[in-house]
Amino acid sequence: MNQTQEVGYVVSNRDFLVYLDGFPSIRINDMVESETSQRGWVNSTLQDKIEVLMLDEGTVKPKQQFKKLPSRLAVSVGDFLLGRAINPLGIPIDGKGLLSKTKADYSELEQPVPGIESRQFISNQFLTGITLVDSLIPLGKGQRELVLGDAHSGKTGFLLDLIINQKNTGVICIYGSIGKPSVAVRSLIDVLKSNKALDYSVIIAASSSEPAPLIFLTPKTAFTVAEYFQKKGKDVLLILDDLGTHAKIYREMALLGNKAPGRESYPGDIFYQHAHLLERAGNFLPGAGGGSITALPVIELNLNDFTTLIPTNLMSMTDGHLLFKAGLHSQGQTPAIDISLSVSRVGRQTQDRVSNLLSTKIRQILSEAADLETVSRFSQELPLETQLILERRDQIMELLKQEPFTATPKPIQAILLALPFTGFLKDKDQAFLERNKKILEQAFLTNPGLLSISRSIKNLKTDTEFIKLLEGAGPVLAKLCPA
Amino acid sequence: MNNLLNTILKDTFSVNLLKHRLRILKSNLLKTFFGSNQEELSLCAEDINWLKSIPLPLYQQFDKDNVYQIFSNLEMEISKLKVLTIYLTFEPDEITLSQIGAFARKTFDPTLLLDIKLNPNLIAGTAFAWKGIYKDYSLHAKIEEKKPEILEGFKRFLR
Repeated sequence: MNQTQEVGYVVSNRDFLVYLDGFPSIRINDMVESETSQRGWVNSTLQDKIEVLMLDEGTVKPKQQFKKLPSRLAVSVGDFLLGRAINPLGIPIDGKGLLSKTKADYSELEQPVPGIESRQFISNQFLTGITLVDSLIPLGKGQRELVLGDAHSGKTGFLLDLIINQKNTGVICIYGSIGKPSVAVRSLIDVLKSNKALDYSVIIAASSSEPAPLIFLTPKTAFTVAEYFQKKGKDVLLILDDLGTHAKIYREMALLGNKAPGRESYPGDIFYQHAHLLERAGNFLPGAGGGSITALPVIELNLNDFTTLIPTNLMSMTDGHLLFKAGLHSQGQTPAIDISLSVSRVGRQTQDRVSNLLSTKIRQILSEAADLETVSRFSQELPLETQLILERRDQIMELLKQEPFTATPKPIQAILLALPFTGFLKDKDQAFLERNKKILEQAFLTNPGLLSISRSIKNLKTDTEFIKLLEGAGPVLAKLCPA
Repeated sequence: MNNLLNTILKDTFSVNLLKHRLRILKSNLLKTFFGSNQEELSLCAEDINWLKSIPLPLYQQFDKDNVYQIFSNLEMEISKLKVLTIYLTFEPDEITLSQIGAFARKTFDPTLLLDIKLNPNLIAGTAFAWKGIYKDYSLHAKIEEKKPEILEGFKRFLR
């Protein structure tokens, strides 16, 4: 201890919550340490005491002395974090040894969020490599899109695909694992490693067995690391898995601190906590670093009920949501996204014109088919027009299915979705597409006769032009895909 | 300030002693008001002398109805008193404690209380904590301050 230092003494404590007396010039987010090296973080300052949340396990006794640490609540950031897994305080947890901190920046977890003058219009599409998302519910770079769904609906698989598909795009992926079992974190690292996706990823994880205040800090650290890369002009994908656990941890902390419980026993400022986090995402002007942070908060639903407090809060503070359903997943639809209940409020403005027009057309068919579905179940013979709509719906749904760990390039996505409108797929059933989808994808990527089509999409103005162009490829495709 | 508290504070300088004396005073009064005659409090001669030293008029203010209230008021008053935490390498005897206490009260605040903590790691000297500021005047701090020079000095004797 230095010759002169600020100290405080424990007045009372309850589990990880400690009240201290002393510290004349303490501020919120300062760090304090006990004589037994247990660190705590100042959460609030009251009239005659301060509230500290302990980040290390151990017992704290009344009258125990705490000293103020020179550092505030911060984490060291740098390129050395790529390929590593750290805990919310920046300690490596992947067993790969110490972080090389020769070029480390020290960044506080709570920072003023850049205002409107630092942000720009979201104009670039964030390509996920997943046909359903890129075409029907497109995401923009800097968008906040909520991922919600039941347990076992394929959310984590989808998120992993998203990270793996960012290979060679220059996008940095940050995965914030909030209160998941350590086994889940381990397997996540393994999957990313085996798919060579770890090189451009950073994992920030606090497992379920760690103290609640540490788990609570995970998304803050994830955003701080994301901001470091964004300020270097990089596009960042940030996944927070999941904010439902984060809300529960905050509820635990608030109830322990005697804060008045509100709806579902969550404290009144739970909306602020999440909104304050998510406003850190966005697309930034060159003056503010120039990069973007695309945030995908995740929330697990109970029995598909998205009308509870936390999901509705998050829906209102994001720019859209992807709703996953376990039912669709068990029917074999991957990704199991419910198209009619999912929305993207800014992604469509980033799509190219042809894809945009095409996706409008597809949405129209899907909604018409949904209306006609009930009728079709009761009638024996359907008018030709209705049959065509239902057939096209089946074809589209088949084309939207995508195996895990696969990426579909942007032009191929557009071609696949335009095919149901061409003569080639007339009278072809779902089974035909199931058999030949891969052949078709490969053909448009490698066949010299078809390559020109994939390349010309950028120059086209309308979907009709595009469909006409695809009609010309019919004979080549017929040869490649025998009925 | 409370007359009773002033009387107690006159020869009570440390927080621990104050709490001990309040406890025996309370036990004694509760025994008088609510206990049986056979019951005896096990007190040392020092404590008995101290209880006897409290003037009778102060005892007379207590009765069965107000005893708890007076003590809760007293505790509230005590929580407002300023406390100087002193870290020492030895446990001071009562005379030393009274000398330090009297000096501190004369110099800083007439109602100041001392909180004596033992820390042999200081080696010699003392450290204080006052209003959340810790000041270390111990030999340990001096050695820490001059650590590079001391180590340099030792190195000269290394072969």
